Amino acid sequence: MLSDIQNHRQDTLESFKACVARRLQMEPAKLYNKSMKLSEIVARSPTASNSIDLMEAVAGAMAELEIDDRVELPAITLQHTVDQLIDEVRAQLAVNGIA
Amino acid sequence: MSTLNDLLRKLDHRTAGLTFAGAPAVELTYGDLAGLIRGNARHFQDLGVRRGDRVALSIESDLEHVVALLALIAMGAVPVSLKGPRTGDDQYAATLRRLVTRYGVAYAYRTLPDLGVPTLTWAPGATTAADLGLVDVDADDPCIIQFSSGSLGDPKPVPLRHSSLLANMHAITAVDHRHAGAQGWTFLPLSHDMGLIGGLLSNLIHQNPLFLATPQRFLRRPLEFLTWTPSDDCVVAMPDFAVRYLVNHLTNRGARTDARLLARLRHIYCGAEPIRHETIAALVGIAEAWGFEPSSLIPCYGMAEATLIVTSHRFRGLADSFLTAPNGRTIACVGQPIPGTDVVVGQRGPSGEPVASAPGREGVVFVRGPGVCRGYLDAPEFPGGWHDTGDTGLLRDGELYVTGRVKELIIVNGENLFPHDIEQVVLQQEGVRDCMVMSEDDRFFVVVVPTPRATIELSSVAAQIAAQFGAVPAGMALGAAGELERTTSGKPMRATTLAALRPRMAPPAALGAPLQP
Repeated sequence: MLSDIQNHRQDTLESFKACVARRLQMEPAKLYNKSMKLSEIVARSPTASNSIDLMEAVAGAMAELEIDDRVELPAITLQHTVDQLIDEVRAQLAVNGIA
Repeated sequence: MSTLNDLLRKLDHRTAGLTFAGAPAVELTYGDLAGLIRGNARHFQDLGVRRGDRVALSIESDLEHVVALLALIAMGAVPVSLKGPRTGDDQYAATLRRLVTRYGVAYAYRTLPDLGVPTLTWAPGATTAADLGLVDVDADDPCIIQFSSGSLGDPKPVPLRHSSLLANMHAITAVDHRHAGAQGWTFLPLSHDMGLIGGLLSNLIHQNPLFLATPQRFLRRPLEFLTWTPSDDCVVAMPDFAVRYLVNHLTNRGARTDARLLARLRHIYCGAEPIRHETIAALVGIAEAWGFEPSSLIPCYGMAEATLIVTSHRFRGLADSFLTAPNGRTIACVGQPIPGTDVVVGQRGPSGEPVASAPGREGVVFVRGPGVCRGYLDAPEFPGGWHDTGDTGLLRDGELYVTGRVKELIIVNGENLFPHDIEQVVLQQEGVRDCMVMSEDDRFFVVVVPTPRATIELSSVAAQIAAQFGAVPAGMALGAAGELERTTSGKPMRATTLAALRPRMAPPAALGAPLQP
């Protein structure tokens, strides 16, 4: 049972990552390959050119998966890395028991 | 009432007050606020602050900074409102130290870096019902100094008199027919004129209940206020980017959001950056779905030199509130001047005062009125009281349309960026010999000239710009020495350079591997 919940949570996280990548029009492999700074991501994404665009992509992915009522947009700046962003979302998914 | 101090003296214990968003939220009545202002005014006096002393302060959206600001004004000191540092801006403290010396700042508030002057800290427990510390000031006395456009590298400090401030605050509340029952909401930085004057201070006139949040909190929880407030008569200022963000958020959430949510917003001031047709069209497009009345939108125009607001109008519809230029660009109507304020579109005449263009012809926008400062701090007064805004526009049927600007300023998401500031960051990159930043319609372009044999990765330069300024260039290119056009005195000829190099520019996302010069 516990492993089912963890798997489902992992599915949600992977779906979230895929949604963000799609909204940024970046290959997931490139986006999550190394711990890129978010400032590097806005320099590489054809759709996001500033911090608001990036937050919109993240917020949009949360809304698309209907987790935005329980998972809060992480407090991020362009100095943070994509790993920090994902870690924060992962932690919130766990805290909120989203499965 | 002709001074802010008169207004502060009138604050009383109604149930209405301020709510600072947070966990937990901080709530207090205007009477509670008045007690803290008086107590802290006395506290600052006890610390040695004298009437007329200039005190540097970066006003954050919390109780401490609001009290400190108003207490300093109450005791006759002059707060100098500064923007907070950008993330990773190592030069911020050095820049502020130069300003402190240049403008005779006597104290700095504790949340600023060490500026070499005594530091002030509020006393959270200092509260009194007595009038202690609240001094009588003259309407002509300086009240606060704010920096035009937010540039600290090329500062233009605007000294606002009490009379200017009050005149503009009253003009704002007249535009939206403010009454005591209206609910204020602000999430703009209080170091910005639209946040400070429109978002905070205008609510003191009728002691409107006010919900304050930081810009970051709005981005994280754009619906927080709207789902919290019971009021159906809310006033807010939203630059174009915030309208766009809210619309996208609602669209993403779809039917999961209360269908009458936007009916609560009866007055949305939209300004601080160009108002885009597509943004307003998107808002109008979702209006019916979320109960929004489009005439609640108030496109407006203003600047720190005019305290805040200069013109405004109630949105009449996409056809009536925009005009289409011959080149196909849509330009927002920002309305008529507020009462008592004059707007002329033209060119500077021999006396320094404007000479008006023919009606409907484009020119530079000049403003004059009770809210307009007499001149920058320690600088000559504006000729005849006319402030040359550096913006271009045209007047049609007495209404202003802002078409662009002649000043070197780029506005991205409501934040003002300056080519010179960006150039300084790029020039610090290894292997960069020279660079030039050029703007066009609030997009900016960067040309980098590498040193001999250096390899420059433009996408890395773009990332560095983004880290520091929050946005990447719309186009970049490598250039050769001599391609960056300058006048004989060395002044950048940005438009000429952009025109020449534009065909070679590519967006950062299209720049992959390191490029050889």
